[in-house]
Formats: sequence, C-alpha cells, structure tokens
Amino acid sequence: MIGKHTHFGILLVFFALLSTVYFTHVAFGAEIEKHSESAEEREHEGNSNNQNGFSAIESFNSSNSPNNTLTKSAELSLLDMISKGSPVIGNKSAPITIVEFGDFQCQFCGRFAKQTEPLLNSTYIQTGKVNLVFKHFVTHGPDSFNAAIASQCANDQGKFWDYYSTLYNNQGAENSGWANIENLKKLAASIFGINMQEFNSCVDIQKYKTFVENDTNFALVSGFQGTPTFIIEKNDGSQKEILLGAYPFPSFQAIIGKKLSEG
Amino acid sequence: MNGNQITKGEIKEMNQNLLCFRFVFSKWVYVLIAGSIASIFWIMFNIFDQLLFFTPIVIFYLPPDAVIGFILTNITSILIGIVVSMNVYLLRHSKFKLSLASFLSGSSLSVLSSTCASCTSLGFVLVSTFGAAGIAASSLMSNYQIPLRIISVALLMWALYSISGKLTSNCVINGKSRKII
Repeated sequence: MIGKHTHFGILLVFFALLSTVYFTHVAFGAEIEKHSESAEEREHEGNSNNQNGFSAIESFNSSNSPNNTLTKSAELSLLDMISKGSPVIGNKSAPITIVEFGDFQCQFCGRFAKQTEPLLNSTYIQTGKVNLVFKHFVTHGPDSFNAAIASQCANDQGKFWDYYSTLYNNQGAENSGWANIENLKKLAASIFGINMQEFNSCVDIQKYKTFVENDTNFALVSGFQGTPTFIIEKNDGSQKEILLGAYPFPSFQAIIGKKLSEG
Repeated sequence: MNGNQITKGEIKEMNQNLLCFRFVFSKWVYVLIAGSIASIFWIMFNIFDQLLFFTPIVIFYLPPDAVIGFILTNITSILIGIVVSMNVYLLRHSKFKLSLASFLSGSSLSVLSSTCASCTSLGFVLVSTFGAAGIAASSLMSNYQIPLRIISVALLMWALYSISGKLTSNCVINGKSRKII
C-alpha cells in the first residue's frame, strides 16, 4: 500500500498543479471582468506621453497599472471614438459596440480576425445589432507600430477593414519583417481602389504616430495585459464587459444575446 | 551480426521495460495519478493556447491554425501523466533517485512553449522588464512554438525511457520488486 508520506506528496503535487491552473487562468484573463458604471475613474495619461506606442510599453511600469479598471467610460463611447478617428464597421446606431484592442502581429488577433470576426460580421454587424471598433494596442515590436500607422492611413481612404483582413491573412512570424514598411506598402497596393501615393505619403510621414501612441497608452493605463482585448458595451459606453483572448464566436454570442435581451 | 537486427538482449530489455510499465499501471492508484496529472496539464495547455474557455460559457474550440499544437500538447500531457506516475512508483518502491531532470525540463519547456508569450501578460512583463531582449525572447517562444513542443516531447520520452530503465534495473537487482506491492 502507499504510505502516509506518499499520500502527502501526491496531495501536494495536486494542490500545486491546481494552483498553477487557477493562477494561469486568472493571469491570462480567461475570466470576464465586469466593469460597473461606478468604477473608480483614473487619470488618463495617454496624451502626455511623447514616446511611440511601442516604447511606451517598454517604459510602462506595471505597478502603475490601475488593475484593469477602465479610465473614463465616456472615452470609449462610440461617438467619441468615431470623432477621434477610430475605424468602425457596422451601423453606428447599433445598440451594442465591440471595441477590439489588437496588434497586427499578434497570432491570437489573427485567429480572431479569421475565425470569429466573419461570424460576428454576418450575424450581428450586417444585421445592424452590433458595430465593431478597432483600437491599437501595440505590443509586439516596432513593425507592429508601423502596421498600426499604415492601417490608420488606409482608414483615411475608407479601406481600414480591407487592410485589416489583408494584414491578418498575410500574417507572418513575429518580427520576421513581414510587417516592415516596404511590405506594408506592397500589401496596401493589393487593395482595390486605394490611392497609393496618398497612402505612402501618410505612412512615410507617420501621420498617425500620436494617434497610435494614444490608443496604446489608453490600453496600458486601462490595465489591459494582452492582445486581443475586447470591450463589449452599450453604444453609449455603459455596461462594459471585457474579454481578454481570442474567444470563439459562441462566447461573444452569449454576451451579445444577454445584452440584447436586457434591452 | 547485422547492425539493423535487434539483438536478443535488446528484446529482453524491451520486454523488461514493458513488464515494469505493466507493473506500475496494474495498480489503479497509479492510473489515477497519471490520468489526473494528464488532465490537469491538458486543461492548462488548452487555456494557454486559448482553445478552452470557462466564461461566459464553457467552450472548447479547435481552429485550423491550432491543430498541430493541440496534437503535440495531447501527447505531452499524456507523457507527463505517465512520467509523474512512474516517478511516484519509483519513489515508493525503489532506493533509486527520482528521474526528475528530464521530466522537469520536458514539462517546463512544454508549458513555456504553450504560451503565445507576446500576446499575454507574460510578453508584457518580458517587454516592459527586458526591452529589446524581452521582444526577442517572446518572439522566439511564439515563432518556434512547434519545434519547442517537439523538443519537449522528446525530453519527456527520454524521461520515460530513463525511468523505465531505473525500474527495470530495480526489477533485475531486487527480485522481490517483481511483486506488485
């Protein structure tokens, strides 16, 4: 028979492994965090930071993180995001808004773009129930920063979502050069109807450098710790729910269904 | 003798390894340990791979880009379960030391390679703490995920072979160990 010590050892191993599972589950954000309207407001530091969106992460001290508490809920209202230039797809008066914080080099963002977004699009976006907003959370290196700027340049010509699909469908290994400026321009050239002269000029002068920095800083001070992060909210910015990770369509369906039934 | 032929000694060794494997897993408690450990690691790997979610609904999904990784993590989970269970048997029934080095290196490598480092808080910590070196480390883990997992399977196979060898020697040296205690 197994002795007392072995029993104790086995229990200890089980406890350690269960703890590991629990903490990894929490750390990797597999939980939905609900943010009530009364959540404590934090000072938004985004606009004051002159560093580029990527180096902002390098210098970001995680001890400053406000523990996943969103800064100002009004800043994520649809009208505000549209007025500031964030790309939107879908009916602007749809009752629900999904805000994606993504990085074009992130493999899980790619998985969402290829697997889940098309289903969301056909089921909820095309039917006018949901709109999707993209915000930049540059976490994967300098090429991600360039890709974010280039996507905003495509947005100037109303081609953001075409460019979004093109980038994710041509995604290569991280920091392998697939998202360098030269290749970003080549990928843009494959989009029908884009004015390449205008696009190239926009990319070269880094027209949206500050815009991307601000998006990234917003994600950082909001305490988001990975990509993709999704905020699902009413279109006035209320009743926020956050998902961290490439959740499949049924997970979104559950939250959207609940919000729609609540009215 | 032809080098390709399996010698009688090798067949004997294989049979002894198999015999010791059967010794261990003829006791339900070791099957239970192996099954539990394998299940825990399976859950952990699939959470890391963003294939298994518990909220808002419990769901498992397998997109095409994750199939190879999923197969490798299944193999890894099963091997970890078997190796842990055999180590527990060895601890209980033998004077030999545990075969932990290869097990720990294999299992930790597989856990590390299971995370898309740069997509998660781990990448965030790496980048904010180590800057460019952090990017390189997280990119390495993401870009070479499959090769790293194959290496971890190889290390676990080595751990399994090593522990089987120890159990076999124990069977040969100590006749009473042939009994299932």
